[in-house]
Amino acid sequence: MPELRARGLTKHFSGVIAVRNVDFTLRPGEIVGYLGPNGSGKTTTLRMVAGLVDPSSGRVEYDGRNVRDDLIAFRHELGYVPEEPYLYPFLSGREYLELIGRLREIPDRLLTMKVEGFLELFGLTGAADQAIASYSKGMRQKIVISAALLHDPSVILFDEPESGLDVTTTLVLRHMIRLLADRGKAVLYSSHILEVVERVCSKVIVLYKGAVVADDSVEHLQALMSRSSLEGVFSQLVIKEDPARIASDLAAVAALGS
Amino acid sequence: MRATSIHSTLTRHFLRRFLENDLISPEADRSQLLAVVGAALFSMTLLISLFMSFAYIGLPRTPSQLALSALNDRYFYISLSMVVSALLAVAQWDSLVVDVRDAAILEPLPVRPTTIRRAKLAAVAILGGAAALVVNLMPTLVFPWLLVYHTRLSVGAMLALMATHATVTIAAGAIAYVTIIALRETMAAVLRPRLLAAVSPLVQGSLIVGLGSALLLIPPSSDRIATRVLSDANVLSPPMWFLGVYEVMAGDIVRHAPRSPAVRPRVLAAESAAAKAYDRRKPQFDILARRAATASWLVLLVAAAAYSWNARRFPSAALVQSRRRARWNTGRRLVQLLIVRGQTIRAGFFFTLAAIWRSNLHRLTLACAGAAGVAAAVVTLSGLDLEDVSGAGDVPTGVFAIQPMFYGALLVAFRHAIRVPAELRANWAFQLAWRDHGRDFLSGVRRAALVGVVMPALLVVLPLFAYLLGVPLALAHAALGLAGAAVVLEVLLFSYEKVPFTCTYVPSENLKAFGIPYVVAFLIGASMFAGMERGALQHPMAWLRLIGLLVLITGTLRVASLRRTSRPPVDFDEAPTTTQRLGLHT
Repeated sequence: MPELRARGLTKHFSGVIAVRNVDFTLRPGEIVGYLGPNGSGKTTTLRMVAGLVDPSSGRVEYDGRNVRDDLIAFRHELGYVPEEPYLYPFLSGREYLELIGRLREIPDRLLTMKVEGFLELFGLTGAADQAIASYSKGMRQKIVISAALLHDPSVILFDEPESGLDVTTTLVLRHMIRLLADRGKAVLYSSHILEVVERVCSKVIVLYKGAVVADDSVEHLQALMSRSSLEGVFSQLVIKEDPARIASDLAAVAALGS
Repeated sequence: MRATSIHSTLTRHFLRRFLENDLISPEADRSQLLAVVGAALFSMTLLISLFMSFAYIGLPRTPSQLALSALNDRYFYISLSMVVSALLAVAQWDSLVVDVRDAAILEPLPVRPTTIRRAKLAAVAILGGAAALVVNLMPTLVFPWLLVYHTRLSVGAMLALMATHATVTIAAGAIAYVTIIALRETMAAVLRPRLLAAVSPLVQGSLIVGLGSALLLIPPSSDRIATRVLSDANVLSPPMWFLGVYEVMAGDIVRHAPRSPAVRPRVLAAESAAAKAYDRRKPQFDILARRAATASWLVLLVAAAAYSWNARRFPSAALVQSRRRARWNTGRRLVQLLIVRGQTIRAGFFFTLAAIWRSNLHRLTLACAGAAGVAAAVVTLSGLDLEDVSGAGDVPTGVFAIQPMFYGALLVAFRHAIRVPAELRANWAFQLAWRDHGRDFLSGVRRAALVGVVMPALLVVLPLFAYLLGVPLALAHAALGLAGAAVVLEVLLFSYEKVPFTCTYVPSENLKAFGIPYVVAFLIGASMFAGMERGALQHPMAWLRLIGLLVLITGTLRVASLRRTSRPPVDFDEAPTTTQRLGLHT
């Protein structure tokens, strides 16, 4: 399977730089963790890779070609789980998955099998014909994950996929990601939960203020920075202020006037 | 924060939510929008008032003649106020009470539920009051003044007339507004959540069609009111009840206005006859006024009781969609087999049906068009004598125009509706799954329009034509309607290059300039097609020829559309042009 490369990806919004000259490579069978504090540009990078946002400069290559040259062909190989699960609220979960499957031209019989399978495995069969408007965030997230995997993509982008999921589903998701990688899929996994990234990902990219500050395997980074955990590495790279002091200040602000 | 401050903050929040929809971007200036809408309503009602009052300036009449002819106009203004207020309430149907989203956001906050409910009630009252004021202000200032332009009425009496006009029209509008609230709240109190979720959109749609038709039918129905006051049929006409109130409060001001001392005997005789005619109706005005008072109290009582009952608890985000899967499986399979065979066509077909029936804004658009269609049909039928009809040849051409006007109006509304995103933030999924198969998707959309919009419209008018022409000819007429609708749909979607219901809404630049010519062309087209239908239904071969011609036109248009080479890639997030072109350059 071909590899995905980001080359000099840069994005600025009204003069403010969100992502600066980001380079990375995502190979088949690889799970790459994409880390960074809030506002560091993770979601913008993922949206640029998915072709939902045009980069200000730089490009994304898949199989050696700029994905912008044939975005539709690239998206045929792409699965994307966005941070916010915006869906059509008047459709039911089943209708939404059928719509996406039909747009991807999955044959009817196969689509039915896949939709029923996802709904059952995610425990959504009982709510499958109810309007998405009535779904909890976790239920919506399950629908979004199902829709991203429906067409068996080669490259999958997860933007904080565990948001809203219960413990069991989070565990299922972790195992599933590993299985997807074992089957040769390339996975870019953006998350705040360092423990999950440490356990699941073979490599991590750390983003700070829009720029890549680390891109290596977890073990190598730990050895390089003499830290025993990914949390230690992350703290050293991007946390410039003492969290204990900030927490103390926050508590003081909250107590103002009382 | 003090309770009053919380109350006013929440009231402002609820008022802002009345304006929220996908057509207004978050950056849009809402005060500018309100100013434009308000100015449009003021100028429109001013224009109507002036237009309707010209007759009083041009031809001097005696006080009793004025009192009699004013009945028509007073009925008009009362009806206008009631229908507009009711329409506004129906348009805000689900926002009239604390809804699931309000509850989800506000319930966890340390705000007393009664404060939230009172704020909602205040916002609903402000909205209704503002609407009633905007609709009735100009007529209040213009109509009473021009009505008594040629009389010698004192300033005090004139002010009393204006006050009466304002009181009655605003009260009538308020009662109509509250009636809709009472209806919605009674349904919420009586029906279970699941049933309410199923019934509520149907009731809302039907009310929009009914009220929209009523709005368009106000001018023709505000005729010969003096005669209708004496009829027992007015027992079911709420505007007539409030006309009774109006006459009880201010009828005598005009009726007994000072007359010119030197009048001819012929004028005196006319005045005497008009005075007798007016006085004969006075007891009826009393009855109508009492009816208005009783109905108003009843509506207020029901609304208050139902509102209080429902206010016991906030609505929860219960799973309310009914489980209809099994029941619809067979139907879906049949549709997939017979009508939509490709996967992309199916995507377009089912997504379109879901959007037009379940998305509030899209349903509203089609309901308004349906209202225009019903009004046109009623106006057409009201002027025709259909007693001795025995075949297509005896039916006036105007009757045949009902069908094309009805589905034509719906299809024009459909063409507008597909430009409005069903949920803008959710279109990322379309962007990712899109495979440049716009033609197939649009083909599904077209078929959904025929099945979900045109066929129901044809079914609505079928009984009328079955009554007039017999069932076989009525079915033949419906088949012509379907073929005609296919042509209209091809024309409307000929150069459509976006993905329906998903791309950003970009307003038309040329609607203001070409709106009226479009309407005229539409009416002429419908009338011409009606003439062709009338001729074709008299001979089977002519019918076949017309069907064949329509199929040929549809096919030709489709081929021409497919052959268009300049199909740009779909831009899902197209922004409207920010630069305003004034066209002042030479």
